[in-house]
Amino acid sequence: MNKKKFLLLMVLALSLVMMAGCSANETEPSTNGETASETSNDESYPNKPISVIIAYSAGGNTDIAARILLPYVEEELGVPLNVINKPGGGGWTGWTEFLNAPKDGYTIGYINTPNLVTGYLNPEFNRDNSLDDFDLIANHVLDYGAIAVRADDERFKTIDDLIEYAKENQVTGTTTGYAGDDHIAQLRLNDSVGTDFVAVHQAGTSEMLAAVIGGHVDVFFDNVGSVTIAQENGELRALAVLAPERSKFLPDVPTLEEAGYPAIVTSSARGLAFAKGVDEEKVKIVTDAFVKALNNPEHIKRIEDLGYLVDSMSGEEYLNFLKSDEAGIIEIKDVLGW
Amino acid sequence: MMDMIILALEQVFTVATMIGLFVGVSAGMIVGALPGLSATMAVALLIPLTYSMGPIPGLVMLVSIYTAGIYGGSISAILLHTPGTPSSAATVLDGYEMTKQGRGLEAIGISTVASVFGGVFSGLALLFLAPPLSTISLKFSEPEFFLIAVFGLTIIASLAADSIVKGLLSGVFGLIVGLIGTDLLTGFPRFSFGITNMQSGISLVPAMIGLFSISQVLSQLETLRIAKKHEIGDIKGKLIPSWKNLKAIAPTVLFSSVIGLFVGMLPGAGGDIGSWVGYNEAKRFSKNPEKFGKGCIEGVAAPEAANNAVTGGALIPMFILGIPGSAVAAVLLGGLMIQGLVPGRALFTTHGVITYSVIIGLILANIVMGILGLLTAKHLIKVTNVPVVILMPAIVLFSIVGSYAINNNMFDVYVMFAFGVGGYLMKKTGFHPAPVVLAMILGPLAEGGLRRTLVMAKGNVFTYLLGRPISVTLMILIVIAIVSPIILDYRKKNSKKLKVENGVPEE
Amino acid sequence: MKKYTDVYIGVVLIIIALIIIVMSNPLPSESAVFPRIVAGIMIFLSLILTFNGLKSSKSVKDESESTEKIFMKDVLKGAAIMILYLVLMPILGYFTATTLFIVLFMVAYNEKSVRKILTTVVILNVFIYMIFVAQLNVPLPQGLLM
Repeated sequence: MNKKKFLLLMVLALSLVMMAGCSANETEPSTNGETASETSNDESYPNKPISVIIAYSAGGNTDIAARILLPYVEEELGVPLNVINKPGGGGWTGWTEFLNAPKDGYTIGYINTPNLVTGYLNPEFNRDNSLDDFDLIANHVLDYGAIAVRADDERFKTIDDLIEYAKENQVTGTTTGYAGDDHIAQLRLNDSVGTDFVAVHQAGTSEMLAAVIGGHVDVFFDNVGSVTIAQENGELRALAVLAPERSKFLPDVPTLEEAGYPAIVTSSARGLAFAKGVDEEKVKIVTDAFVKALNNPEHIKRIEDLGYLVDSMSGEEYLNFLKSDEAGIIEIKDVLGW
Repeated sequence: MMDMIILALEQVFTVATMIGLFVGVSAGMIVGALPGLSATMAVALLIPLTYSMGPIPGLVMLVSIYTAGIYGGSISAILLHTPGTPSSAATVLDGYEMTKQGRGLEAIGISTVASVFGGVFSGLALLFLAPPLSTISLKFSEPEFFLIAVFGLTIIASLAADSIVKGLLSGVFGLIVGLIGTDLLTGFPRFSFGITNMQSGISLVPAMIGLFSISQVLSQLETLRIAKKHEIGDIKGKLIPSWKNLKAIAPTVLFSSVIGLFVGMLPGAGGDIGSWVGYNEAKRFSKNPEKFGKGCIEGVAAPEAANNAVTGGALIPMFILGIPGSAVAAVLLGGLMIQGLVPGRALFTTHGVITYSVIIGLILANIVMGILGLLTAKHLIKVTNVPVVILMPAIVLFSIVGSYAINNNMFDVYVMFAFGVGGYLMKKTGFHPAPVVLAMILGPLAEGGLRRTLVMAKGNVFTYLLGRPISVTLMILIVIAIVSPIILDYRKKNSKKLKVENGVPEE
Repeated sequence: MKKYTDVYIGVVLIIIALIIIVMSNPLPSESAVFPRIVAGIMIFLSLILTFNGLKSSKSVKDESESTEKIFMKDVLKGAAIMILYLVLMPILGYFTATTLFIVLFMVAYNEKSVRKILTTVVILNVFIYMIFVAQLNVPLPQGLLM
């Protein structure tokens, strides 16, 4: 019995300590994952916690941005927003679960492009989903593509240097995976300008950075967020952004279009949506709350400190954005082998 | 830098940070000791708790959990033959033997000393050598990862001394499991049978928990009916290692710590690999390798020093380059970034105080955990008195929760169970679970490394490799590793022959 | 173990290796390289294993392994209870299934003391609830009951 008493004591002690720690925080999107016992009364929606399914792990880019935003949305909606991380399957473990959840308006999810789109366009995965499966809420973070090289790389001082060189020579470029936005950027460049970029697919930004800074891979294809930080650290030199206009984080860096090349735009975007089939009223209430929170200056500042751009498109605008992103991928379907 | 350290010291010795440290060490040790719950899970789940704490107390708590968790795993490995975390799987070999011989307390003492040394060693390396070490690590890229993975895979053969064929086949099995998932370089799913959950591969931690913990439960069930309660016998032996023992393990501990530090710096390879490499190399260079596996103290000291040395090592590339050196470091990276701290030069300059505080916190946490471990050891021993019929379901429960909680996915629990049954069957038929883990981690590292190297070489791979000094060194090491046992064996046989011919009695 | 175990295992492994090779065919060539190499190694090693297995079963060996008795029935019982537990968890919910599991397990191994069973159930459930649900917000599987 000694052992059990000891164990019990330890449990109590530990829980006391942790509860003390927990009570210190008020602002955290709170507590329990268990469904509340209140019935959902349509009159006063929302009146119980809403689950936010993030298809990537805790601590990842999407997760970090979400946790900054959600407290502001909670203020608007008046109910807790609980993050549930469901990583796996390139995002589809989470998205599948999200699409299968009851359409009562209490489950929303983060959608990431282009992963979402490539996930259903790639015939190997046999998915017949499409953008129509979602009732969009709003976009949160928009991270346009950017091209950079090692800061002390003598060969490429401007984007012209790079492109001219790449037309004659094979040049290695980093990507975050096959058919990721970085890969798509390289393929579309090859297609429209005649360069010979060869992709080195790695798992994430950190490996990519090390590869370029260490001189193992020639060009860093990634997004504005990471390029900005690396440039500030003196590690990279940004050459161009793949956006409709210059980025406020990289004001001296031209867009591809400005530099005289085809207007290729790629991005990594993260936004929120309902699974289709939720009451229009509810969608509107939530969308309004999100847009308000998204435009909160405090929130915007915190996101921009990380190097990300807040672009709170909603409704038609958001849908059109996603559709044009999808179109860009369909354009190179044959190059991808689909 | 010294002035930063002084400022950091002031920050560390504040009430908030100290509480974070103590809570972290205690929670870490408990989680580590409970089979099925891993350090990765603990850090991942406790990150939200740190949002409301300041960056320093919060991050110090997280690294404390990390190192204490890795240490805690040795406790159940030694006493219950079940590793508390995957990093302690190697400790089971000699640790449990010692417990059976009634030397469990002694084993815990050795493990504690070794773990503390490994942790402090890597913490100091992190503190003083991070910049130069990370400059070196920048020189490592895909070609080197490939070669290192191959080198690691050569260890598999020596892990299964009795039946090399079965050991290699176990490794091959691990390679196949590692192949499941979506090929990063082509976007094609491989061996996923159309199941979304399989398309991101088999999660490592649930597989390891199943392979080591659940299979152990099944093994225990074989003799549950006749399990003698106090089979362990009276625990004799002293907790605090004698001076003689300390001297004996000193070279092992130092060597293993260095190994752990370097393994930690490798992206993706964490305590799980570090402990096996540490164990293996200690055995390889030992004067009496036959002692290993029978309850020798080096067999406990080596893996425990190595796995705690991994903690500091994994943080080196994480802080400097944003490349986590282990799974836990990857989670910690998220914890850093949420606090607005982005890896890079800024961490050591603008945010220097925070960074150095965390590193000092890591070093302190190791010392605290050592003290805590030694103080509570006598009580922990009592765990062996818990009736098996209660202990077994408890281990199952924690394994399930520990596997589920990482990704909130029941699929991982099924994986855990499947690997548990598989691991049990492997043990019954003479195969070995440990090579499976090594191969699951190193296989993808090798394949990815090689294929990316092919792209990067832009042509002739061999000339490319020969132009990289580190690659050349690694290739030589691999050749030595493969050839030397054969040569040593040959020379032993020859010298025996000579001795017999000359009438010298065989030893 | 029985005499021909190694042989059976070897054959099964060879079959698995062949399956792997077949499954690699639709893959793009670079994705198929490693699986094929691994399958090849597997076949090579399995052949050795099979031959060794045949060789050693020819010689009369006294395979009276360890003098300790083991009870495979107990192992199977345990595995079956665990499988039942996993199946029921999404249906009944985590805590109900867990309680059932603990009770079933302890009863199956002849634990007679109701007090011990109850204490175990309570302590384990409370411990997990307090740490994982209340503190860490882990959404444990929900079912019909708890």
